[in-house]
This record gives sequence, structure tokens and C-alpha cells, in this order.
Amino acid sequence: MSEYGLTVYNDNGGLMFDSSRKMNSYIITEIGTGTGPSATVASDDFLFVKIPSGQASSFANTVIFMGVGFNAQFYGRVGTFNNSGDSSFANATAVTLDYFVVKHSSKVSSTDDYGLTVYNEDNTIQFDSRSIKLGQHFLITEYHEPRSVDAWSTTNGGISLGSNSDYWEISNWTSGTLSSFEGDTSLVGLLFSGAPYAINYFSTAGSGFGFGGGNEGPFGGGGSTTTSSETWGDSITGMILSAELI
Amino acid sequence: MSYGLYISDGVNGGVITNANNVFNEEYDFELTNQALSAGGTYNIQTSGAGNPALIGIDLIANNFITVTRDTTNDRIVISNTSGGSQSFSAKIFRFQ
Repeated sequence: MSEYGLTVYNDNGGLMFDSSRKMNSYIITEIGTGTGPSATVASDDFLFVKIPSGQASSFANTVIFMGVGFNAQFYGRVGTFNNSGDSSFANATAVTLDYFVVKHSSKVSSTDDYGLTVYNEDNTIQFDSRSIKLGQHFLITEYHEPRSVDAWSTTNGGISLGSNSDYWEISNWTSGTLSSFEGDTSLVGLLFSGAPYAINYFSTAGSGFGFGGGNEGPFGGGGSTTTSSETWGDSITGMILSAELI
Repeated sequence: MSYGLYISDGVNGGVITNANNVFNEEYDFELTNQALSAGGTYNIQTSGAGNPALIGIDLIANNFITVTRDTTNDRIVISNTSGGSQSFSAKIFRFQ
């Protein structure tokens, strides 16, 4: 613990603020329901989504992923699965989801002249209470370490990531092509099938058109098993988070 | 709230220091395209501020780069398991 500045713990032993440690606090900047956020999601941001209440059945067999950069939109591709190596996915369509966006507190500007600002030791801002624009806050409920997730495939049921009722982060690890061309498809995303599962799929025939890509790109994932033209990645390279609004 | 620090603008508020959480990135440990020699390791020391079990890492790397937890020494250890030089990017978070 530092001998100067501000350090705050919660009763769970979690560190909330420490002005000596060069941290950036995240705050919610947008909550909504739609096919994407109102603004482009930056590389440091996180975007959490969940299926709107009562609509779980309409997302069965749908892999959800996000296009980033110039078109921050939520997409879904409906899969037809079999374990003989020729699963297929319909073309991507925009899907409507509940979502919220979190950003570094220091990136949310305000002209108010009151509140509490926590500075890091290098004079950058760790937390600025003026960045709180909304009455709701968030709590991280699940954290899956990189490559720790057993991804779903037609021959491996995978591991449930958690609860469908939570919000799941998709801006940093999901990606996908919007359509298939001569069978070429790449999808790294969420499959809501009773519970959320990660999926890491790639079929190798032809060349596809698409965009998106989390930090690890469309080939993210750990080891893999290959059947015919399909490759089902066993894991996901990036971390996967879930959260709830409080 | 029964105790702690609550920050409000009179309408909206947040950060209650009892059971609440603040999701932080520790940018002091942010690494971009960090080179790691064959068989080498990179240690991220996380001690000194809270419970090390409440720390997460996000990693961008190929399959030769692995992450292990050294809870005895409060470290996250990034290793290159290949016979050649590799690079990785990583961010550290406190989120629980």
C-alpha cells in the first residue's frame, strides 16, 4: 500500500482506487436496446450485450458477434450444425440486443466544477466523478482467462460461460464474416443455447467477404480439431467477461 | 448504503465503498508487441494492492504464449513455450 494519496478497498478485498498505481476506472457511458451503440467503440472500451427478455428462443443456434471500427453493429448468423464436417451458417443479419458501453473515466468530459477526481502518480486521471452520467452502474460477474474456455463445437458441448441473464462482453474477442462465399466462413462469437457458449469456427473453402475482428482477429483460439473443411477452435484467445447492471 | 464513500452529483451517483466494485485497468502493466525470447518469461508483479485473485489479464498472442498464476509471489507469469522469439500484448484489470 502506498504511503500517500488515496486508496480505497471494498469489503471483499477488491481495490477500488489507488492513486499510486496508474489505473483507469471504467464507467458506463451508454445503456440501450438496439443493433449497436450510438458511437464507435474504441479499443479500450468494453461493450456488454444480452438477449432481450423473452426472446431467448429466437436466438437459438445464432452466433452473435460484433463488427467493430467503422461499423460497430451487432450481428447474428444462424447455424445448421452437424458433426459430419459440413455445418453451415446463414448470412449475417443485424440483431437487436440489450447493451451497455463502458469507457475509461478520463475519456468522458465534463464542464462541471465540482466532484471528486483521483489522479495517478503521473498526473493522469484514474477516476473523475463528473464522468458518471447515468444512475446505473455495473458489476463484473464472470471472468474467463484467455484460452481457459472450452469452446462449443458439434463434437464437444463446450463449457457454459455463465448465465443468459447476464450481459456478455463482445467487443474485444468476437469477430466474423458477414456471408459465406464458396463455403468460407469465420466466426468467433457467442452461441446462446440455453446458456452462453463461446464458439470459434472456421471453414476453409474459398474466400469470404467480411469485417470485424476483436483483438485476436478471426483466427483466435487455442488448439483445434479439424473435420473435413471445418475447423472448430478448442478455446478463445482473449478474456471473456460478463456483467450485470446494478 | 450503511457506510462508505458515495459520490453523487445530486441526481446520479456511484461508488459505494462497502460491497461495490470499481472496474479498473492497470495501464502501468499494459504491454504492446512485447518480444519474448525462446523459452523466456515475463513477470507482472501484482502484489501490494488488494487481493491478487481479483486481477485478470487479457492477452493477444499466439498459442506459444501461456499465462500462469504464481499466487505465492503474487505474480502473473507470461511464458514463451516455443523455440523461437515470440511477441504478445497484454492488459491487466482489477474487476472484482
